[in-house]
Amino acid sequence: MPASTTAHRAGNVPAELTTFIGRRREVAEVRRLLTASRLVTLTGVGGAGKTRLSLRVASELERAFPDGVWFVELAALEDQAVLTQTVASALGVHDRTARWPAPALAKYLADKKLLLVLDNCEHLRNACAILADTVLRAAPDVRVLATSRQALGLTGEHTFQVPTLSVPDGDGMPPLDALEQYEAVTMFVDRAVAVQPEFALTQENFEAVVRVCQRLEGIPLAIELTAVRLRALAVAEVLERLDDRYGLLTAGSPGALPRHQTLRALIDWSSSLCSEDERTLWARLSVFAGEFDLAAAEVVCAGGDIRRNDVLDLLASLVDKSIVIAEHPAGRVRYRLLETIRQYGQDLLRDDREELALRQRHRDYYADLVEKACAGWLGPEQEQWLQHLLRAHSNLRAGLEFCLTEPGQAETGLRMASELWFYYIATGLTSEGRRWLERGLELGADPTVWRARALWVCSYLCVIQEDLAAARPMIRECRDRAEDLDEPYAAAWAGQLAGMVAMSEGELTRSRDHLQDAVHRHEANQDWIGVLDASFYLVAVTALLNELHRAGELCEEALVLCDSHGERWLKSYLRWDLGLVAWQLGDMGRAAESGRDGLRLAREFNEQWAIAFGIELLAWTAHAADRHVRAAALLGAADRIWRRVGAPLFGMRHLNSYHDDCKEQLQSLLGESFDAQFRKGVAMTIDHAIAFALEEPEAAPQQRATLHEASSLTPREGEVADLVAQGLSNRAIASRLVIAQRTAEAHVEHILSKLGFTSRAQIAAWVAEHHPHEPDTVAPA
Amino acid sequence: MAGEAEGRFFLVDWVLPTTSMSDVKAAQHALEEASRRMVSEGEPVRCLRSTYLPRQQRWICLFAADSAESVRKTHEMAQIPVRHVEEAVELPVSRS
Repeated sequence: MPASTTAHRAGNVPAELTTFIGRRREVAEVRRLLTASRLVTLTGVGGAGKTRLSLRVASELERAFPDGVWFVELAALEDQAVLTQTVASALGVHDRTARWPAPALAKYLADKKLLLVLDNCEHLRNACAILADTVLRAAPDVRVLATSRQALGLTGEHTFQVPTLSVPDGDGMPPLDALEQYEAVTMFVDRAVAVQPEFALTQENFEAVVRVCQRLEGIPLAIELTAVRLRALAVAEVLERLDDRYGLLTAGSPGALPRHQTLRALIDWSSSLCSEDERTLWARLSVFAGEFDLAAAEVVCAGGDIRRNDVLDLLASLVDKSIVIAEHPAGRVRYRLLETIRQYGQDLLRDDREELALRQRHRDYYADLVEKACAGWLGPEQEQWLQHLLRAHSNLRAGLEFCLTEPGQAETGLRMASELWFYYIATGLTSEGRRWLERGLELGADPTVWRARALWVCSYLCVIQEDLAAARPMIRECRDRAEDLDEPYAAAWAGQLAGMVAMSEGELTRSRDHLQDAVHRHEANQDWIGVLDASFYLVAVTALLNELHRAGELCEEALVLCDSHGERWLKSYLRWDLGLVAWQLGDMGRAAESGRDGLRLAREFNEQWAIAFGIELLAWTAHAADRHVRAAALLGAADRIWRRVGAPLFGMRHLNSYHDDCKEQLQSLLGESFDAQFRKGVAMTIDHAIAFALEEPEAAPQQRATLHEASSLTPREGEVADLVAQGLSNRAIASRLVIAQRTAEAHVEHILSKLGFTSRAQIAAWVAEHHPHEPDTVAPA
Repeated sequence: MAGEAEGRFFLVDWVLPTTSMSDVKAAQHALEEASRRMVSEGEPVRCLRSTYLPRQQRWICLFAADSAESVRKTHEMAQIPVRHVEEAVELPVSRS
């Protein structure tokens, strides 16, 4: 998902949902490889745990990289052409320019010290390799950790084949008290306890557990899928069914199954244990790219024997069986399938002639979402619609891809892509939006209304990218099509775009005339978002023509319209416009106030372009108010964001002279200290820069984190760590917490692994560091 | 060489107002790597000529390939946006 929903912290490593078992040696080795090589690729079969291992390494290295560790999930990305923009979005880079994305990203990363994790590269192997190479050549302090079924094939790449979890060898059976050294057994017990809290490894069942783990060859995903069976079966029964299944597959020679078939066999078994309706739902859910919610599943997957009301129960059942993963971000439930499981579901679907109809339903659902978002955009729910679309981003892509590859669907693709115009601008996904539209325009040559609308949207994105050569013919065609079809909506936008092009060309009077006409046309069409959008540019060009009072009037009228509809996105731009006019009129107080208002609104949408404009304006007003030190820092803060979006005052080049004057004057006034203040601003994160610009009080010191907040320990693990620090043995901990000793041992193992420790003494020291006022503990021997 | 034998050539032309010479060089490197990978996967694409016009900030490349789609795919792999791939005719030049 693009980064617009994430806070501006350095890094985005997702939290782990389940306990990470063992792998201390592997984690240490991968960490060592990353110190020796700037590109490390984790390879291995599906289900081997590549992603989990990469996540574990990523979380352990977060503090080692000042600019963070950034995780980019690529499984759902089909189109290699948007790989770079996907990575850039994950990094929170909203480049609106027509710069080639790869060099632009490389330039952004050139001075960064960060770790980039590219997860699930296999289907985009070549493109990932080339992008990684481009980045590594330009950014000496960036390292890349990739996961893929095969190496990327670059010079200097170190590969690490992720082994399966350790299991006892051959026919030998270790004693019960020696099993804790086998990771597969530990994982099985951990997952079993999750579904069956009373489960414990005992003298009665340990041999069956070992055999199960051997059968599963220590493949983590296979163990996950099997352990959930303990809801209904005893371990011996699970083993019996595995033996039956493998016997069929290997003609009675247990253990002869090739590893990649072991997982397949396990998934086949999981499938056979599902009801027919559950299997059908599983197959249908494979159409989703990335995460989805219940509403989407109900609409897309209901049909035939599955009624809409049945979907929830079936989905819950698949979650219980670990086929579907349920996550609960911010109180909402989101579902997804692991890639291996999803591909299995797709295979089930290919046997089903419903596939095309299903993909069409999927497309229709998301096209409907886009239509609703577009209709609801002018209103108080803009932020919610934006978040909704961001969460659906992978599925929007899948829907658009369907439209542009399936015969006869291009028109719907043009409609979907056109209706997303505000989304591309608000999120900085201008290159991606342009790509969808250009592909659709190439396919859909008929002179339809949606072609006309797609032309204005595409030309808008071209103008934002300052690619006027590409925009001009599209605007001409849009105008001609609109006239032929008597389509006033597209005609109005064509006029607006002509005004925007003229503005970029410096033809300000012509621009003003076009934009004024466009506002009137939008008003006649009752296209209020068009009125507001055109007004933003009209106010700016009127101000540049030095008709300041008129510009102020136009802006105030537009702001009233914003408030009447509860519109906030364009209001952020118009507040900036008002600030610019006030600054030019010499009313610095009003300029600063408007700048701050616009900045607060831009922050709601994480609209980096508007944020940069706001901070820039506040730098000018600070300078005008003789707060020169502050002004220099604000210029630095704005500069950092301008580099992310493309160029200083991108899209408003005519204001460059104001920026340059401000900077020169500050350099003259501050002398050498200007550079230090400027650098201070450059060093600010976006959140910090906004707070600094708004002069918000610093956040209250955080409460000291609890043990489990300070690390990735679960609450129970935090309790156990505390008891370890008090010197209790595993047996005593088990007794204190009323759990099995084996469970206590597993918790200690997990704590050691998560914290990267090798002894209980280290745990005690760590606890003491995080809770210094706790009673003195006696470090265990 | 595939493409050349059948005489299929394709021209790709960019106007790059915001792109530096170093960006063009990096892109060329990426294109060469992408071509190499396309060849290894049985879809030969070869860049025959690469010319940069500094005053116009324009980059023109000539490719030999079996199809325009192969040329486009190579660019996508190299992360270079390409809008138009035109089939071209190479005219022999007399050396007399």
